[in-house]
Amino acid sequence: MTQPRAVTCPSCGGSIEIRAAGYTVTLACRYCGSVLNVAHEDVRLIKAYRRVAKDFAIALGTRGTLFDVEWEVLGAMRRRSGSAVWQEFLLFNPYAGYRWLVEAEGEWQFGTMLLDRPEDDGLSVTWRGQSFALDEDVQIETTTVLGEFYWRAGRGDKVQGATFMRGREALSRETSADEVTWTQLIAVSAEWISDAFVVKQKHRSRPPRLRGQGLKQGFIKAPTMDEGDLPAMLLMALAALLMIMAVQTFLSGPQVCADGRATVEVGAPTSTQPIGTIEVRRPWQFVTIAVDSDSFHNRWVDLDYSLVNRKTQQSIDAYGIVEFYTGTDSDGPWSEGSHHTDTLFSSVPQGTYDVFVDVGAHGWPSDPQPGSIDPANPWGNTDTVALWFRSCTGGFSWGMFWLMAALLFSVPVIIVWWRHEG
Amino acid sequence: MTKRLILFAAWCMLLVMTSAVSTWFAWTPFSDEERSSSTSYRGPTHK
Amino acid sequence: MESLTCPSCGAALPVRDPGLPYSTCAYCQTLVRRAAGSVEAVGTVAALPADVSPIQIGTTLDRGGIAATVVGRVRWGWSDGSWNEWFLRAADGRAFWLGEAMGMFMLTSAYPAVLAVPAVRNFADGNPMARDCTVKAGGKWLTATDIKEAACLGSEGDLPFPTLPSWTMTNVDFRNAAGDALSVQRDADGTTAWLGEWSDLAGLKPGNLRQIEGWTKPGALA
Repeated sequence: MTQPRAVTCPSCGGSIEIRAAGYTVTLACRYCGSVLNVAHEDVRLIKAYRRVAKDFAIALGTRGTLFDVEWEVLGAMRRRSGSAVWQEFLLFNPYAGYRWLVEAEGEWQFGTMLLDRPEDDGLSVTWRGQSFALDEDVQIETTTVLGEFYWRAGRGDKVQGATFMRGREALSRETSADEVTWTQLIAVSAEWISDAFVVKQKHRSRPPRLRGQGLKQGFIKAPTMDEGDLPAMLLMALAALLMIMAVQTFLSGPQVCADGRATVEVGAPTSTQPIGTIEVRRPWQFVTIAVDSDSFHNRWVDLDYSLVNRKTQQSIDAYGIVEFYTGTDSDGPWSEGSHHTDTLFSSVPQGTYDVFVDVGAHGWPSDPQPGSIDPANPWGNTDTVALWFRSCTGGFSWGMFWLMAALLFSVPVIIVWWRHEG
Repeated sequence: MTKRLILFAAWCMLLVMTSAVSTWFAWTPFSDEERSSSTSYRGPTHK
Repeated sequence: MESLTCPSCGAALPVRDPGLPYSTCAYCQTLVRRAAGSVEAVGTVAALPADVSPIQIGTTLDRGGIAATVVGRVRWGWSDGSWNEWFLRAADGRAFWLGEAMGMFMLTSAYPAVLAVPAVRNFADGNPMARDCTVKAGGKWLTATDIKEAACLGSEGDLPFPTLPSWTMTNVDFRNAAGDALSVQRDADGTTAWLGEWSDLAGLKPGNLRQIEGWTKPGALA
């Protein structure tokens, strides 16, 4: 009587040991998914299937300790209500009976079937002196079963499920054609569950579940990866981004700067003006040219910079623009643009460079008359733009920074999105 | 720590290293060396 | 404890409860009827299927300070499954049935008074029991939730009725919201009623539990 009971699947011929012999009524074959009636000595095939659902969060047969009791995962079900999909695991200990673990979107609940039933008054129930409010009442369909169950379980089973909440505790009422069962569900942390079951799993023989699955399934939905790590992931991404910021700031030096100034008449042809000399001391460095203008309105200034290497006379060009517009419309006054612009040169080789700028200033909507001088104020109204330049070695690529930020945060965001999509 | 978290940590380290190397060689795809259109008329985009 | 031998195989046949007429030989599955010191083989019982029940013959339960000891077990089968019922005799002479289902336990003692209730008397007369039938027993209202035709799948130890494979019964389980349980069983010998309550194993304060291979008894039960 102490030998474990083993049955042979009539569909695929696989040999399966029954762990809760004497209690188990239904067995969904771990090899082919076929649903078997094992209530009696003669095993009967209820429905043959060819495929086993594999991506359950905890593998069948896994043992773990929760609330000081060791539990073995006997059965797993995937259930659905509308667009919500979740997993339920049947836990067993011969001395403590059955319990449930329910996993939905990374949240876990530990379920105990109630022997004393709550008193129902429609929108709330009273159980052991405490009131629980109705949260939802929906039809639940079982889409997949795997392993052992103490009742006749199968794919396509439908029950009416009502949930009553009180804080983090819930009472679930499931009504099927021939019975009503009540289960108390308490929230348990994902870390707790992964400590109890998933981590231990590494030390147990485990089917190679990740093989043959795409990256999407493997990384985002993979069973051994519970969803409680998202906060840690976001923290990690933030830390990495700060490191990237520090690295980009400190590795771009040393910084040496040169100042220059230029004045340009609006509407006049472009003119080339020298604005300083800088020395790139490392084999490759960024060069940043920052420009500030006086506070003009409705002008734009094209800036074509050239770094001319003194030794080779080769030139590296980059482009910047300063523009500022104002106006008034039905919403009131508006302004657009800035009197400051940074221009970044990448991969500037070691050497000494003379910095030149080709400046051309223009008016919006049209250029003013070139050279026009107000006779009343011959110095004040000359339409010129003054520009102050600061050319420095080194620089910070904001484009690179934001690209890194996107690559870092896209992973948790995709996981959240994926889970949301089911 | 889950396997996923370890993988993600490796991904973070890879990105930090990438940014370090690219900064050291002063490389970025986002420099201002390409001028989109040199002689275009400009003005406010405000409506 | 007086000792008898199996009339079929000669093995020792311990008498765990002299008040019970039937005993199953642990070695050859012979069902023995005991009467006034004599033993008589009445047939062969089916071998019990393997199970992982934590109960065994000799397990004790605490009923209000009085120990009750498991002396026999019958296994019932019905269309969708099977279950154990363990027979217990308390030190004060009372008899109990311990039913095992879904990893939980229903401990009941004889409550013949309910047999006078018309609905139950009607059932005892051989008529079917209606589901959702409500009866009052021990001051509690209970509703029939589960009606099963069951056949004997095997037995061990000492029992009050012959557990041959042909032995069948109809079982009606009543329960209520408070966790009370009433079991009414009708077989060839007549109808008996048993009243008690549902409990988990720890709530029965068990002793001498079976050691199940591959499992350790939880600290509270060890």
